[in-house]
Amino acid sequence: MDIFNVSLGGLTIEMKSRFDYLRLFCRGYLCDGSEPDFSVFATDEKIAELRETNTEMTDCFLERDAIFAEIASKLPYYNRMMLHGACITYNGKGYLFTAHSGTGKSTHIALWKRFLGDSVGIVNGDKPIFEMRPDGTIHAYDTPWCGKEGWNEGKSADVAGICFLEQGTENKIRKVDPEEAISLMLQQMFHPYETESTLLMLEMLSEMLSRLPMYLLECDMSEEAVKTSFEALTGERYRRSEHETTLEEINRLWRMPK
Amino acid sequence: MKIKDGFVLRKVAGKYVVVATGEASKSFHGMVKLNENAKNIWTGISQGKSVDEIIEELVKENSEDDRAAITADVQSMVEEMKTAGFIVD
Repeated sequence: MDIFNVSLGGLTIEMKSRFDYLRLFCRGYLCDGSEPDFSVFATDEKIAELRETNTEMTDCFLERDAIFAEIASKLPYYNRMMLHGACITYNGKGYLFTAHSGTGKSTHIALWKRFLGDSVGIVNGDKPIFEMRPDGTIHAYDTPWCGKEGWNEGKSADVAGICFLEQGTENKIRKVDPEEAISLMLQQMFHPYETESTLLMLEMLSEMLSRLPMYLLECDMSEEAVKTSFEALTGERYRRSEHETTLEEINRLWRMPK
Repeated sequence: MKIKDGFVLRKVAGKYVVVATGEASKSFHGMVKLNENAKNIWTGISQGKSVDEIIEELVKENSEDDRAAITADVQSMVEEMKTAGFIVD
């Protein structure tokens, strides 16, 4: 058994692992010394459960995913939760784009980077951690679970807005009221195993809905799509960057260097 | 009659919401929004009250004139909850 600490979402988490892959997967997040906030271990039972729905996956990947579920279940006890979505930064502020897999979150944030250039950074392309801070701000952190593109600059940021994404033939955006956002958010949140943790998660969701502006964007893959979401989310006028960033450059800048 | 283990009810953004946890979350991924009346019925069942007790309470809170409507409401909601698998005997 390999035991090591990682720093995630501002917490120190102890991981107990049976496969070398987990340490490798978390290599950019290893830390030592400090007393862990909590400890996670993928039991045989949890791995077997995941195997039922992922028959092709080898045990080391199943362990990685089981560890993810363990962390997602524990986070609500620490005022944090795991969300499914791509979180970018614009001039230091965080914006989360969320939708079912395959909708085009990565495509859309790549368009932001392509047309808005250096002002755009990435927190995490797939599963960021959100923290509800005592001062009322909501902070997004990167995690090693960053999706197939591997976009993850190791940034963290205060979140200024959430945007639900839908594919469309024209580009339009509208505000979503908290009531409508409940189910949209619940579909993209990782539901903890324990009841107490779930209740805490729902409490955080309620707070988040009252604090953050939320939008529903219908978009295609054009520059117009960026203009539409950019102006609504930031409140600024869209101005394209002088340099157009290519997908190759984006991958070079955003792929987890760790 | 009781609510199946693993369903939790919580007020979120001013609305009553039910989601599943633990074992129950494997078969139920969605959420249910409840209005004030439905919330009272759900809570009554989760406290182990019978259909009749819930009806009596709601009649007391509202008015005797509404008894017929309340009875119909409670009975149809309990039926729906049974069909959806939220209630076990």
